[in-house]
Amino acid sequence: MAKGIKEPADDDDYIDIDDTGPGDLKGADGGYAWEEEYKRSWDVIQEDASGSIQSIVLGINDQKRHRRVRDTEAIQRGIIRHVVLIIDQSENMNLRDLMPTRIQATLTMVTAFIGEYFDQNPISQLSVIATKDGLAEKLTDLSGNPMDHLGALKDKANKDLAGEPSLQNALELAMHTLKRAPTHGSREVVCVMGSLTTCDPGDIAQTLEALKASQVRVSMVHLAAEVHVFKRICRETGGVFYVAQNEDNMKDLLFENVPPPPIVSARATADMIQMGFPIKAGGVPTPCVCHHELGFVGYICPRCKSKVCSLPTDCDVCGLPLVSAPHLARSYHHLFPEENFKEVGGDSVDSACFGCGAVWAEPPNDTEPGGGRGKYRCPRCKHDYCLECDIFIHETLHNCPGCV
Amino acid sequence: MLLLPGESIKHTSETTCNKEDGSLYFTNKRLAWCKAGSPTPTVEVLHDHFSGQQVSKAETKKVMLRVTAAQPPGASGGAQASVTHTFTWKHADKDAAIADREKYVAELSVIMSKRSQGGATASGSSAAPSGHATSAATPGQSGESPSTATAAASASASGVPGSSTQSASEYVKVKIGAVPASAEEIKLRQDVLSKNAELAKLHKSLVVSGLVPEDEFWSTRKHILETQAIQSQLRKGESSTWLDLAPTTQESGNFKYTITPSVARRVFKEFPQVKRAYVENVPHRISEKQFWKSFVASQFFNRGRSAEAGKGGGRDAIFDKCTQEEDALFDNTSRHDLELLNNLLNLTRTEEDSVETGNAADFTMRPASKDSKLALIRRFNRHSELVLQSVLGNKRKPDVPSSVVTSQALESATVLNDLAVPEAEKRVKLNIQDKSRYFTSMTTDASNTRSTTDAHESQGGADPLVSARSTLKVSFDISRPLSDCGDVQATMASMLSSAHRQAMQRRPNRIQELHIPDDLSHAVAECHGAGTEMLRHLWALLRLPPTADRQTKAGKIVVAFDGVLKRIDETIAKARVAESKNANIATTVERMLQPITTSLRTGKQAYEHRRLVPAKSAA
Repeated sequence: MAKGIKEPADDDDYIDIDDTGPGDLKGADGGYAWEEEYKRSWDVIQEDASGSIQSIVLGINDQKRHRRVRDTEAIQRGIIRHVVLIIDQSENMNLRDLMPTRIQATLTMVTAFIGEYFDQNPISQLSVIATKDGLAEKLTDLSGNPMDHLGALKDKANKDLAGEPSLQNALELAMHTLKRAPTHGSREVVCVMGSLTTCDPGDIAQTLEALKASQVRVSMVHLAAEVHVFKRICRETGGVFYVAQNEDNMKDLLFENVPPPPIVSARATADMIQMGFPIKAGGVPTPCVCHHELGFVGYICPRCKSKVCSLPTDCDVCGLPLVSAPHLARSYHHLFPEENFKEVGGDSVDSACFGCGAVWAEPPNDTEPGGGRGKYRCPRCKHDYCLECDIFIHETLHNCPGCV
Repeated sequence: MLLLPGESIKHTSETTCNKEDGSLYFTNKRLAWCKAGSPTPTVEVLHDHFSGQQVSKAETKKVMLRVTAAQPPGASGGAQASVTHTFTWKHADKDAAIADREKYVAELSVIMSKRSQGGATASGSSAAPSGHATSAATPGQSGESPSTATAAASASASGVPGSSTQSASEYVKVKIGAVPASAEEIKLRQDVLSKNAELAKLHKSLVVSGLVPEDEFWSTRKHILETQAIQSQLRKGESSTWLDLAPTTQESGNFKYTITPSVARRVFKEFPQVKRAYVENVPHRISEKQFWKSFVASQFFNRGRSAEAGKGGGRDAIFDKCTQEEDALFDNTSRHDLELLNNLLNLTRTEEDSVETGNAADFTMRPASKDSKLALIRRFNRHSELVLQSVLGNKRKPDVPSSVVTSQALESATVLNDLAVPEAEKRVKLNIQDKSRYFTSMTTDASNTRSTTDAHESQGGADPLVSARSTLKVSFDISRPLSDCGDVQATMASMLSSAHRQAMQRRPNRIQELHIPDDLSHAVAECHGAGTEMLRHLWALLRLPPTADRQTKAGKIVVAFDGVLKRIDETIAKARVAESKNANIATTVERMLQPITTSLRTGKQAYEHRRLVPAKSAA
């Protein structure tokens, strides 16, 4: 492992350390990413001709916030989702190639994923299964309340690592959980695995047939390498299989599962789904039917008139899904995605970004191509936005302020 | 052994109990053990008293069976204390001992399943420990031999084997919902309650206090029981990782190898020659410890690990023989029936091309250029073979040499999925009739709600906020003086008042401020709990298509509603006479119980409506 003073490559102004580009596994040291013990991130900063480092710093920040060009065709997507998250808790997760350990990085990402998932899919449900020592254990049942899942992940007892994972056991348990889900919702499994082996009691091909028959879509993010069996399962059930290169990459790949997946099969889609829109009630403390605890604020189910304490949820007494209008509105964004903005340079209509009002920065030198500091134009209202606003509009807001 | 009248011995074995030698007898009436030479049994367990059994794990050297029995009536004390007896088999051959023990285990399981079928009631505590013991026996059995585990598990795991396994699931279903509940189901219920604190609290308040019968409580929560059943039935497969026997360095500089029975088993699987050597040499010629010591030091073990380690080490009679055996095995090419080999992998095929040409000999198609790597390659191949065999079994179809099959085989070997152009998956287009309605309704609603909240909050009408909004829309330029931005004072005042109101609502101790006495709150909770539980049942029945059976059940539940309503009235009456700092305690309690009363009434209405509809459609 060579650890001398690094020379900058001739054709780059700054060296990639944190983001190794595609097809370029070797870091700046000449070694592989997993061979480096620590990253010398200070070597990236260099002064430019005028002695200022501001352009370099801005360039590094821009690299992190890359905008994703999305598919904006209006297609059918499963909005009511039932996702089972499978987490590998075997001994392989103790390795330190993702900082601080694989399992810590995974838990951080999964916590962020859960928050984002319920933010973008408020009427969907999630369940968490952990696998270790050849067996699988269900940590939380299918529910729409993110606090349940976050609490289970934080629970110390769930953090011991042991043995080998068992994908077959985890998938069987997941299938059993998803059987209870109604057919009008989509059934998905998202796995995060770090182990190259799986310790199964039987033939996993049979489990694969069962998954296909139940129309369960399995996706996986693997932390080490591509394993044929895992990839085959993901491919044949219609999911995606990725291998993460580093922490940022892992976050991106995991968050690919946040927007609802397109409906592929032509199975009988339900035309009408019964849902309840409860009214808020309050004033006197009354017990709720889900926890039997006294609470002031509650919602009255329109069918059985029992009080539930929070939305969205399924009524505990009569089973009716209860949502409020903002929840549905948040889910609809995925059906009407905002079009990708075109990058333009040169003059624009506005003197400043239409979203935040930041005055356009001068590009460092005119020969530099577009490079992250350009303007992004909405094709409908023809207003220009800066990179930050573009990302904000596409990922969080889902509506262009100029068009609305 | 002296037999009772009508008794016949089914099995007998030499075992030790309490460190004394003797023989174990299994008869049609009891399980008895006699000390060597004595005719009367020292330990006896009648079939009726027998309550549980446990077996030792496969990894331990001793083969043991532990039997739990209830104290026979008439013994001192009279309490239901249970007695355990442990029997150890002392056979030299472990497998024979295990086989022997299995006979007893099978017999005892049959007895227990017969007993649990014979109507163990839900409250029977004796049934519970027996259920516990059999499922403790199951992991012991399934740990031994995974191939026979399915048979053993299905015999002893479910006293009443449910419907046959589903098409792809390998798990035997425990029948849940049978009335009266089987022993396994009781065990499941206990497991679920111990794991789930909330459910345990609910269970305690509803069932233990007698409000709701136990079976009804679980009938709406079957899925929880099923999940627990599946989870507890998951079996552990065989480990498929590469066995890397790495030493730990101790302080004195010595290396320490840890060899547990599971490690030993995996070594035997990887190296069948070592297993044969072990069986031959231990324990007659050398001790086990010596065997492992020489194994670890031998060239046989080390040549695969690194080139340097392979060169060291002296000669060792046993393991050199292993090396020679292995080499002989691989040199003997005629051991494979060449017809069955896949032509693409058959290295001997290239020998046809390697005729004498006068050039240097062909050095391709030879496994390993350096001999030191050869052992590693062989070991790796053998490991992969074992992993695949454990899943696929020894299926080997003779290749039918038809052209279609061979071309398919060639295609699957040469066409790689990763190199193919990824095809876009078929997507279904979104079919919305009137897309514009989505956007228009959004904006009009937004402005409507905003105007109503304006009217609500700011006393000065909609003007201050509207003007503030309009200034924002044009451009956000704080260089302009604030007075131009509309009536800031009124906006701030309304914002502050609403914030104050929300903060007042959210204070945590508001419930305590109502000063509800404990017994009243307890009574309220009880009414609420009982009512909710019944409503759950009712709605579960109403949602299913109506049958006569369900109608009658629903009718019974509705009748039970009246009981709950009466209780509610009692509670309200009690509230009226209760003493409390809160003057309006009665109205407060009444309003607290309002939702449950409403929902009970709604449920009743739904039931009535349901009852009338089929009558109308029939008529």
